[in-house]
Amino acid sequence: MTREEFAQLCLNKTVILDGSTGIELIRRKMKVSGSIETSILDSPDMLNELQLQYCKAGADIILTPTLGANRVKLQEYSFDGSVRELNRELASLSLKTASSFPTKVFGDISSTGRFIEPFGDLLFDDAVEYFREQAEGLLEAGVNGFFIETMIDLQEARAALIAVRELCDLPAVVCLSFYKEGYTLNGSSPQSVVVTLQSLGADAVGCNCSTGPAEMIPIIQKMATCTKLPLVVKPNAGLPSLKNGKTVYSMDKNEFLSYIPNFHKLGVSLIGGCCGTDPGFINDIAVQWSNKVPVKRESFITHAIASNRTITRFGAGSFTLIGERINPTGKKDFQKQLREKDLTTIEIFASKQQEFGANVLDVNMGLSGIDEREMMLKTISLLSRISSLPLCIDSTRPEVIESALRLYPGRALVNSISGEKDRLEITLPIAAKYGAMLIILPLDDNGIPVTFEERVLVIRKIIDEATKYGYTTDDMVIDGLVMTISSDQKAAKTTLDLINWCAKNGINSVCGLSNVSFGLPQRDIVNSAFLALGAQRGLTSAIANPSSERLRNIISSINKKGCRI
Amino acid sequence: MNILTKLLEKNEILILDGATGTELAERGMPSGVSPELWVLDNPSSIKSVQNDYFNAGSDIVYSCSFGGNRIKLSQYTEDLSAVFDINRKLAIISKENSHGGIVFGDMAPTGKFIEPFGDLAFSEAVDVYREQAAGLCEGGVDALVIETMMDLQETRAALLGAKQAAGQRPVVVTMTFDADGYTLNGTHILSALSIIQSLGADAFGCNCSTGPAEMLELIKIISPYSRIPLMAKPNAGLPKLIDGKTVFTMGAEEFASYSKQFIDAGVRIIGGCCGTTPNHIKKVKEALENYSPSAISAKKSFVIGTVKDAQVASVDEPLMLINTEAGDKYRNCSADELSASLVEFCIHNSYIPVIKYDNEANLSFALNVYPGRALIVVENEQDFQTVLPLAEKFGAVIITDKFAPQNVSNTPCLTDIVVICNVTKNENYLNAYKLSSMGEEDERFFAVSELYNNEIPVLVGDPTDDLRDFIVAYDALTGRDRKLEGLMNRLHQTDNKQISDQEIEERDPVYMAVLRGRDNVIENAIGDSLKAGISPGKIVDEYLIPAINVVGDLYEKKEYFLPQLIMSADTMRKGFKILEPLLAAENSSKSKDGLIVIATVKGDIHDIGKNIVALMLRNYNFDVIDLGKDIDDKTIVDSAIKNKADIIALSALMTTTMVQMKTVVDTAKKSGCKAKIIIGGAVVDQNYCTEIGADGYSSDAMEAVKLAQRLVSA
Repeated sequence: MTREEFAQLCLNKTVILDGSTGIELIRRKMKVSGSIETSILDSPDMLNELQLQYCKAGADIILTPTLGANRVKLQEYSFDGSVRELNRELASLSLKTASSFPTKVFGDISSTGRFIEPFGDLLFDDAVEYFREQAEGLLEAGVNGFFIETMIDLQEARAALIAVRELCDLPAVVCLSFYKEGYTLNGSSPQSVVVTLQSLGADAVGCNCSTGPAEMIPIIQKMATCTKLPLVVKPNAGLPSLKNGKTVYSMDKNEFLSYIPNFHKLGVSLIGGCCGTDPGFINDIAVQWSNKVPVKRESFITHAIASNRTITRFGAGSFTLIGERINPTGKKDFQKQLREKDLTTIEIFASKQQEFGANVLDVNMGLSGIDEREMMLKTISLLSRISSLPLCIDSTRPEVIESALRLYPGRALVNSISGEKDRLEITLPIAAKYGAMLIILPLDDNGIPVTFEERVLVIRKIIDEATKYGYTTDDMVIDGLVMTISSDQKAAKTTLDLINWCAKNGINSVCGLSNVSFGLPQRDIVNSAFLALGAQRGLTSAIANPSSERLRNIISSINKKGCRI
Repeated sequence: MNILTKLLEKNEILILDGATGTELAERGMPSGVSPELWVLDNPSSIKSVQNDYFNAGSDIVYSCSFGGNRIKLSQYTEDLSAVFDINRKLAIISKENSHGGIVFGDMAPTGKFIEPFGDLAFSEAVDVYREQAAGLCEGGVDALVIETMMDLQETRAALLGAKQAAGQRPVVVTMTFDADGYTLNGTHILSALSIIQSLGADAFGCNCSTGPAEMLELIKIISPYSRIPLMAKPNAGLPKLIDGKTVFTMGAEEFASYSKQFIDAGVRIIGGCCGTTPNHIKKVKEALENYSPSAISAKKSFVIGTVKDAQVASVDEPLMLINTEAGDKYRNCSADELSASLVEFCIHNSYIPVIKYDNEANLSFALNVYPGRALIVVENEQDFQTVLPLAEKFGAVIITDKFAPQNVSNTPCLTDIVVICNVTKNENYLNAYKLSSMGEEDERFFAVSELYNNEIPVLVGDPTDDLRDFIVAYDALTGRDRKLEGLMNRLHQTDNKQISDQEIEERDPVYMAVLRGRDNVIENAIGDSLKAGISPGKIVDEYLIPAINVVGDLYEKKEYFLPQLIMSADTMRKGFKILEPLLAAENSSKSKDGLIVIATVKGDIHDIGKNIVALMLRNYNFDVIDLGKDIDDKTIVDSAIKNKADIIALSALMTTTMVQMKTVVDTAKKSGCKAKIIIGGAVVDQNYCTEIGADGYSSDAMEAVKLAQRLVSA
């Protein structure tokens, strides 16, 4: 099915998923030697019987029995065959079973169990390769879409989703496992998960496994505020307990069902069950809910970027401060350190800026004599681990931006996309692939437009081009491009008019404050004054040095008044 | 409607007469006598003069009563009871002769200073002028003119005195200002305009002291703020001393060539002063035949004049700060105390005193004497009704606090009323925000930006020093302080160090012009130096270059900032342009040491430093081809090859554009270009030079010269 068809499906009905496969087969006493996946090949009839029951019960989508069929997990069982082949075979079984029903089959991809860089030693591109391997086999068999589930970590979910997206254009659902406290194992919030995966091209997001339905309600609630995508729940039948040495899920289907109205109210579109559930669960869910149209969710956060842990919103009530300090320009000691690959200053800058109230960190590694790409990746890795703030990738080199966006375990802001030919033709598609939020720079190959009207023309051109890649102005922050008033007294006014235009058109705006005071005394005062004037006209963010007390005072006053796009 | 408005409506432009004294001298008046008394005995002389002017095209002539006030006449006669009659007779002579033409009764300075500078009491001065005015009016003049006044307080006395006798007749005022716009006693023309027009003059302008070129510039200063017709009566150019005599040499044609510009600038009543003749007036009339003035739009603003400078409240000017709390000290004063302290205040400060109203009689007394526009704070409607007529009479500005006045008819020239209105804008009056209503102290830094966003011209309150720092920044950022003067003056203190004029050793004018960035005086300064016999080369080596080097040092030390750097560089460039042809003549025999192609690289628009380097290289005998800024590698290399350049010099100021330098190096190599490549700019250094394979790096202009010299001789 196409992605549009999938989207339509999720709007029109509550989509019924299947219940547990592997765990259920074990409960039905399927013979297991080695991995579950290879064992299924030896008992295809049992699989067929189970999946038939799901289809009859009214499942709209069943999953291929390939949860652990990735190279890493299979190697634990000393599997030395073709991963691709195995996936293809298993998928073919499901497809055969479902062929006489309207039920669709989605390829199941799940966790390797290993942490991926920068959180572990599994290289990102290796992880992508492993997931791709699986996906190729599934695709070959003819699956209708992909179901990436039980991911313990956002970075892993990213790797799998990128693998699928680089391979095909089928619908991709992504579910993570959350602890009952509401975070993933690696500390990601539901919001950061959803903002990141949405921009990376997921067609539905949600959570599965780890907890029963009750614990998932607050998680889904948080997700619902952050995305326009369909939401998925596939809870376990309650929390597990040990009975006679066996793991047992004790929630019965009636109790399970009693939670579904909560999900329906929150606007969930896809419902199924995980460990401890069976065709009986699915049957009852389908009977009661299959023909119910999902509740439309009206308010959801757009204009957000994410780190691995949290999100930062633009123009959502308070001012967004982007810390500018991680930039070697003019900092002799910092430059020296970078040339020696020493990241000490970066750590200090990151924590200091966060302490002083930065909401985003700009990262610029542009310096002669260093490998910008290498240092950018090292910095991103470091900051992803030690800081919870989302990052703004600041570079003029497309290859640096590409590597950064690929690795970054969140949704980044890209500084910047201008109207220059190579930016639009090379950098923009790269940013679009990873769904990054964009800082738009209103200049082009003709230079920096002097008047506000000319800048608007350039902006429109960039917006038109970006729209071709699926961007809307919700994904953009427009840089007012302020020049110094010491050489052009009208510079501030031009930018203020542009900021006003952005506000009137419901678009977020940003300004690199320091520019306005270049060459003047007491720059901090001039920068802070300019921030205040900008905010009056509707500026929603700025790139500045958070250690300025005057600046923080102004921001505090702005926030009292409220800062909304 | 008085005769002036009627006349202006009909004619749009009125033409005055020219110089009278010289004309009378030609008709036999000896030197050393009182012209007024002499004319009474020789009336045909003045009639002849005035006929000449009427025939030449004057609409208006002045009566011959310039020195006809009691104090001036006391030098020539003891019978001062005749003063009224003298003026009456002088008026009759002119009026009878005019055959329907307009006669203005002429009044001028007494020659004495008014208290507290001199010993003439203000009230006495008023009486003196009233006396003269009464006589002139009795004699039939159509209006009164107070001219050639050089003291603000005396002008006030004259205007108040004249109005007492004038009845319905208009009273117009022209004062005399130097080319910088100041009277002898230091009152600025904008200040004078605001005070005199709010005091009820029917027209205002300048006469004497300057020629038409200088006077035109002064008119342009006051034109946007004038609410009454403007007058100009310039001299025939600047005076020259010829054979021990002061002579005005500007001919009639040249004099009249300024007429249209005066009208465009807003003048409606135009004539001539010293050195002008009926022929000058004739040419002016011809120049303005069928010339229709276009309306000048007045700014929504008001001006507060003091005895020194004016302050302007306008959305296009820096924020006006008014501290109404300071007005408390004027409450419960006696009339004498109040007037004395106000006068005292205005002499010693350039601030404006703010009076909180409490007593009508005291206020009236004080406003009479105060030589400026006062600010009166009124807190309720009742007080407002009492104060309003006083404010109208004496031209004061009213600020209302806590209420907005009802139903005031806004006739021109009358009271400026400012309403404090923090929340809603009041469209009927001028608006002010009150600082104390703008939240706690730490919230005000942001709150004041709201004032700027709403385009409010006045802030009432006494901002802290920190807040004042923000205010000058806001003024600069919003374009209200176009030259960033307020910002530079206030914020330009590093470690409490200030560059004062005394600290910089006073040097040659050319050096000082570059140091101070005065590009409007460099031409004259160089002209003077050349006349004094200093060679062009020496001017460059000993004045221009050392000066720009000092500017560079001051910039490095953060004592000078970018605006100053730009001004100095522009001044130096202008000076160099003047000297270049002269230097070329000097050096035409010398062959150049080498040819250098210089440019700022692609994507980079910074060129101040590059321009200075180019200048220096030229001066040190290099041929320099300056390609400009944002130049791509191909253009640079092509130019170097075509011109057989010895050196390519590259400038870049940004980390993102310095990479272009490498591109130029590579392109030059590929094209087989033999020129050596040198680099400069704040982002680059010797390491980078080595990294990209360039031939040299220099940190400033002098180093660039030395580097270039080394490379060509190698």
